[in-house]
Amino acid sequence: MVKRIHEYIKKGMEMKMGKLLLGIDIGTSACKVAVFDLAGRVIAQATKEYKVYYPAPGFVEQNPEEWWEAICKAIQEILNSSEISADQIAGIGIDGQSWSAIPIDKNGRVLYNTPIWMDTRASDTCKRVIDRLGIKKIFEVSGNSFEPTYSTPKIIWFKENMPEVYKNTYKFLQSNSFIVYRLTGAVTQELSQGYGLHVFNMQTGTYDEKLCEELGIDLDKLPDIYKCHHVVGVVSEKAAQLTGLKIGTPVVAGGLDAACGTLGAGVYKVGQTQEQGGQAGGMSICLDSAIAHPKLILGYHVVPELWLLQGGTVGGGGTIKWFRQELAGYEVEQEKLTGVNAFKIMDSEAEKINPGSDGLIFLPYMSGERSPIWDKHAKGVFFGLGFNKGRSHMIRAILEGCAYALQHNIKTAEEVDVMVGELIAMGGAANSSLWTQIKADVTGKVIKVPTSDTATTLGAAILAGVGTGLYKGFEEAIEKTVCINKVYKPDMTLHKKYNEYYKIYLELYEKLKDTMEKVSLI
Amino acid sequence: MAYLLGVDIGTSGTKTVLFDELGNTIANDLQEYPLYQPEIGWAEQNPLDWWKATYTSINNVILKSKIDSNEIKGVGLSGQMHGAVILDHQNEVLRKSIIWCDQRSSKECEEITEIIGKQRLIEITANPSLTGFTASKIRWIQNNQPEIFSKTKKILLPKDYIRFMLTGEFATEVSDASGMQYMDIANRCWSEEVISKLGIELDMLPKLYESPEVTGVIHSKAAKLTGLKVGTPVVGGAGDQAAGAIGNGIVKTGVISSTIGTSGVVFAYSDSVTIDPKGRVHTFCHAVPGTWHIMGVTQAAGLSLQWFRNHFCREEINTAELINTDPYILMDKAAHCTSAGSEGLIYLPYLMGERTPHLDPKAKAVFFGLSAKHGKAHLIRAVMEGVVYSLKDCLEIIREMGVEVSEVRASGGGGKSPLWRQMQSDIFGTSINTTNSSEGPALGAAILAGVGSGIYKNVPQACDAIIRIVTSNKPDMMLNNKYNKYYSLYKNLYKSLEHNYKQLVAIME
Repeated sequence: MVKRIHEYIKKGMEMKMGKLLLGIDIGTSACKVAVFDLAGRVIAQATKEYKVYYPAPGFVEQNPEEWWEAICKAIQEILNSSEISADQIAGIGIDGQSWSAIPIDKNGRVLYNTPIWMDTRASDTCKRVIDRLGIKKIFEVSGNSFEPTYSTPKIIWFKENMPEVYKNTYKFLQSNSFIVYRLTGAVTQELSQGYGLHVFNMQTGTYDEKLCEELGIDLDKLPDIYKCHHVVGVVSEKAAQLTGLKIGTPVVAGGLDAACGTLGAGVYKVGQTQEQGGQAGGMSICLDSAIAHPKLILGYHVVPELWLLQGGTVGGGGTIKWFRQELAGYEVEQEKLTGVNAFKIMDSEAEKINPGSDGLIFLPYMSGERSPIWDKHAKGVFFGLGFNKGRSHMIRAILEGCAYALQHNIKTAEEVDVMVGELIAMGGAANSSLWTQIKADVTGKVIKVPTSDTATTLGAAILAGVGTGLYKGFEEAIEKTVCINKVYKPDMTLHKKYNEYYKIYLELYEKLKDTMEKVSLI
Repeated sequence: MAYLLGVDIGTSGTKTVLFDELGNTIANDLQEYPLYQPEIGWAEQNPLDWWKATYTSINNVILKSKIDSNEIKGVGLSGQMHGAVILDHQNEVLRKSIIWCDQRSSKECEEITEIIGKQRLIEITANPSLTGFTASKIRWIQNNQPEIFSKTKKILLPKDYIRFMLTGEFATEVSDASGMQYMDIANRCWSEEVISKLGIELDMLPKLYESPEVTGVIHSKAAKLTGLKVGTPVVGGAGDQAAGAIGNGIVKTGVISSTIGTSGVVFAYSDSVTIDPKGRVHTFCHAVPGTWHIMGVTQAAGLSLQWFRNHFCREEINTAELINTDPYILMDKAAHCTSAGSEGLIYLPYLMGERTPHLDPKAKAVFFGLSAKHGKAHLIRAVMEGVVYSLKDCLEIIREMGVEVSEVRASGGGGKSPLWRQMQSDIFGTSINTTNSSEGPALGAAILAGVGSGIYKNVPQACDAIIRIVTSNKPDMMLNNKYNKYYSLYKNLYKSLEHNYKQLVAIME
């Protein structure tokens, strides 16, 4: 009894006195703040929502000050309501959404809302730049295509359309670097968000002065570049007041959300590939050299000397959620009656259908499609319906269609001789063993599912842990924090069969893309 | 007052209706029977079930009506087409009838096409060889049950077997016989070329009449079973499509019917014989003597909406039960709240492959153009629009053949939906009318009996006296313009996907 109490006290003391890491994620609909112990366990977490503004067609904005307010509240909530003391927080890492362009002046004032990653206001700007310079020159430096959603065209848009804002801009910041700035006063840009700026040389990790000049972007408006785990500053007095954090707490540069998520899933070796099954789908392949593909996105990993070749598809949990909401009346009714989640019921129905859904193929392009086809006019299609096929077939076809979209990205990456080894799954879709097995069978790859469902903030926290020396390096950090829960092995006989359907999947888009565009224009 | 009896030997049951000479329903009765499906794709019925249902329902109608059967001046027969009834030398049924929807005979169709020649077959019989038609069903018996075929002395269609049981005569008429694929359609007679090449003796086939002609009279044994008077004339009658068309007044140039039942049929009258060289629409002899009809078929019309209801409209079904209405009415309401064109969602209704215009059993249904903004109501509307686009395909071919289209009459279950009727009007760009006819093929059969027994001079005159227009939908030409854009995409989609349907079947095999 006494021994037990001692253990209890000891554990409590460890809890109380043990060092903790704070991860902050700036998402699109909300920020998420989580406190981890050094074993990667979540000790406390809080989420605060903020708004997305759509002031005009193609314009999608957020107010970075609202991010900051939400983050302050979330940190306060954690520190006030848990047993955690601000003293215990040994380091802070921040990850954030891609492709911001936050104009701040010398005094740190935000001069204008930032266009976010969905914003396409700079479409015309892009066309003009490509006409003038050619895409080859830009691609050679940046390793990426020149699309309006990236940061660069947005900066040029400010220059062309809001010259006062551009003139008064001291620096353009990214989402995570803006929060770093509010916490510490340090003005930074880190490697993993570098890919949003086409003047960022993907081979060297430095700005390309010549391209800057040709694009008409003033180099001095871009902050100095840091490694993601580099401690760039400490919590200031003012930030301490607003958040409850301790003055002097070290803050690292942080990184891109997808890259931090990739790290938090345990991807830090060449060939390992993170597979993202959230609202949307995606993949990030870990490389040890900068290999670009014009249809994919190349960026630095948050781990030094590594790159990530990324693909993002619209086909993900959003599609199956749409089906549940619109067409799964029966399953939702069953959920009410039995208490079993409707998604689980849908899964068990889909499981009864043969792989390949007896020839029903779904193109999951329900909000256009991103990589590798980059077609905003792309549409969803159910192809191959028959009288003897019903709801269950359609559910399975959706799961398979999203897996084909993943396979399309993997196959595209393999065109440039990138090695894709095992997949590490994240996001809500990884909770469905049927869906994960389908992905394994369609891609022919082993899929591992880590225990943690907070990979993104964990990745940010790991950066802080490595940066402050709490972990010897990334390998030790991953070993201590990431634990594989389940492994799915591909059935290669099914893989062959799926390949036949996958070929039709690819052809369907090719044959239908013109009609997809035409129907958008009626 | 004179009375006329219409008997329709349908797939689910025999419906008998007694009309007065003005077409008013006096009494009706339905007797059901089973459908046997010994294997996937097979469909058979027992002709003796039809006979029992027929004499029972006639008896019931006469009892219900309380009229003296002396006043029944004629009997008209209608029925499911294409079914093969075979009799031995003692006029006993040799096997269950292989009926219209049986799909077992695709190999036989290839043989028939090979033997006669694809173009020649269309020239003579006005149709390509299809599993639905009697010739391929008989061929299947020849190939697979030669011991049964060797005993075959007579080949009859379902309603003509009933005629034999009522009158003792072996007779048929041109509209139903057109669906056997043994006829020379242009000359309205049996084709000796086709028959002999397929190994059929001419005397196996019944005597061929025009539809209103008297083919025989009720004999005493039948009179006892049915309650009809001995000697009551039985006219040729018509296949259910032609009889339904007569009952709907499709007996003059320019008047077309569009029927949304399980399948969809666009049916046009023509006073000259026109045959689509590609065989996409069927040309049959019409039940109006000396005329023809052209028919395009959408395989899954009402069936598409039924399929959607069964899989996705659980809430509508539950609600309909609570408030005592039809789930289709609730689905109609939901679809009504979305706009024409379903915001870019297009449905191809090929759940069962397609007849007109593709003649492609491998075709499959498609939802094209889905996006996050679409909800269930859009899908319902898209299904309804897709069915109408397919009917428009039929209508366009018929127009191409030089048939005038001035008025379209809607019927079938789908014709009851005001939304679906307006959609047809907007998509076709023509008025859509409905008539007072509610008894379907039975009324057409009775009208033919009225002509045969001399109450009416001819079929058009009878229709003028009996059939009235009760609702009319006018096209909104703005919407017609919008729908035309979607229709042209709809047509492109099949062309784009045709090859993929074949690929899919190849993988599945």
